[in-house]
Amino acid sequence: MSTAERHELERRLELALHGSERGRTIIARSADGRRAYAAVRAAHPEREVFRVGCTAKLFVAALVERTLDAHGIGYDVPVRHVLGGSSGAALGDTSLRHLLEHTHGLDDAAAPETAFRGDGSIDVERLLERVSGRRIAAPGALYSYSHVGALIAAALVETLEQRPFEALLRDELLAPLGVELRRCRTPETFAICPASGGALGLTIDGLLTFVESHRPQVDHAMMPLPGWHPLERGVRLGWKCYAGSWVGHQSAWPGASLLVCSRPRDRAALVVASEDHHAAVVAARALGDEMPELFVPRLPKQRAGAPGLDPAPYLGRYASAGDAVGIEADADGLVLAGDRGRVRLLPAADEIFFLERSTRARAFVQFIVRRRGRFLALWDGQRVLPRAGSPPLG
Amino acid sequence: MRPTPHASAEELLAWLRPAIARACQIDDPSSVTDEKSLLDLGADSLTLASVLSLIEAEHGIELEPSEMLALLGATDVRALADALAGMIRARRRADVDG
Repeated sequence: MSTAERHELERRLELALHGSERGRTIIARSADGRRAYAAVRAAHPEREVFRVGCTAKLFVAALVERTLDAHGIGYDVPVRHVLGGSSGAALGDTSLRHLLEHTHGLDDAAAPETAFRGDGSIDVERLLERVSGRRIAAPGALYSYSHVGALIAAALVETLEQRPFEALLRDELLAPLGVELRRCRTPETFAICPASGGALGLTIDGLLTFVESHRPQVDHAMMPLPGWHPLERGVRLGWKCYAGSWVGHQSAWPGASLLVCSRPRDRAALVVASEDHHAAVVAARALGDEMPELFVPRLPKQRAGAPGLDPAPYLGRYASAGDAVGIEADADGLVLAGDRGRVRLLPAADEIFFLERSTRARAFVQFIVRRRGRFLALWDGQRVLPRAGSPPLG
Repeated sequence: MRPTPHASAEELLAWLRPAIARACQIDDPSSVTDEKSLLDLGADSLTLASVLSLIEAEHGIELEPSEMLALLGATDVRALADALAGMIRARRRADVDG
């Protein structure tokens, strides 16, 4: 991109941060292969290394695509056919598509740590033991974001290729792109995790190169989210789908927030990384007027108060393996009761309720799947909590 | 939704500070000073959508995309209140002009 375009990007980043910069924040974008960078606290933005965090799932998706092509396997083949052993008991008819699109229905909300064998490969048997017998939904029924799908998908690639994920990522995916796998020492781990990234890091240029190289398989339909989200629309084979044909992923680990996006139709790519702030918010402030389709939130319609709201369909306990909330009613409406106390629910349209006070886990809830006069699940923009005691959804 | 026909920037500030504190999980609303930016308060996309929705509900308005961008781009809490006050005034004028 021209010097003028680079200066304009730098001006936008400066305005977006407006004195809030302490650590590194970088915006990198490309169109038709022409790149531009803007950065604070980084002299050479293209060489700066960031932890990839949850965007690691995009690398799993890319490796799965490559491996399935090589082995002549489709996305809809049940994973148990490849993993064998006792995997069928935990996975049933779960397919690779389900794993990549978070529709596997497995309940991993207890956040199991990644299990590795001595050779660095994923201990898929231990992983499946942890989720065995715990389902929130039947395979394919609905989206609920988690790490376990990417972990099992990575284990499947390891099984087919007979090599650990890290070696495949380094040698088969990144090296052909001229991208070097980097490792960031973190307080928690020095291992590389296919789902949360772990210590996996890449340069900004490396991330941009990877995103530019992605061509989504347009013959695959997008799996829609089960409810409202201000920016995300669904997921396709591991890539989150946004408005305006953008696909990508976000990560929000403390000290390393990342947004990577691609719009293949015009070869546009965007990487935003920040040590201080949420990358998507920096990007919205810096580029929102230029890319409104990506950054202007879609808000639910408002509903005037809650007079006459019948609480009965909502009341009850909604729970997964690692999270539980109760929905109660008082004279003023609905209340969400969780570990950190009780929070009033402010009604909007489409059964969406904003929490009067956000919690670490959620800013809103939406009641979904109504059967026989009551809701069977609760969606919070990331995950689904099924009604306690109900059979798996779908 | 309740209309606020006399929503000055000061009145809006008084309403926004605790609303932002609740959305950003800040225990002490007094730490949401006029000079704080939403970035420094740790807002993410869902938090911002929640704040914008609360603004719509409180003021009985439906924000246009350009208005949302103006609010998201506000440099600090006071600028957010000023921008919102300007929007409410503009809407009132448009209503009067018919």
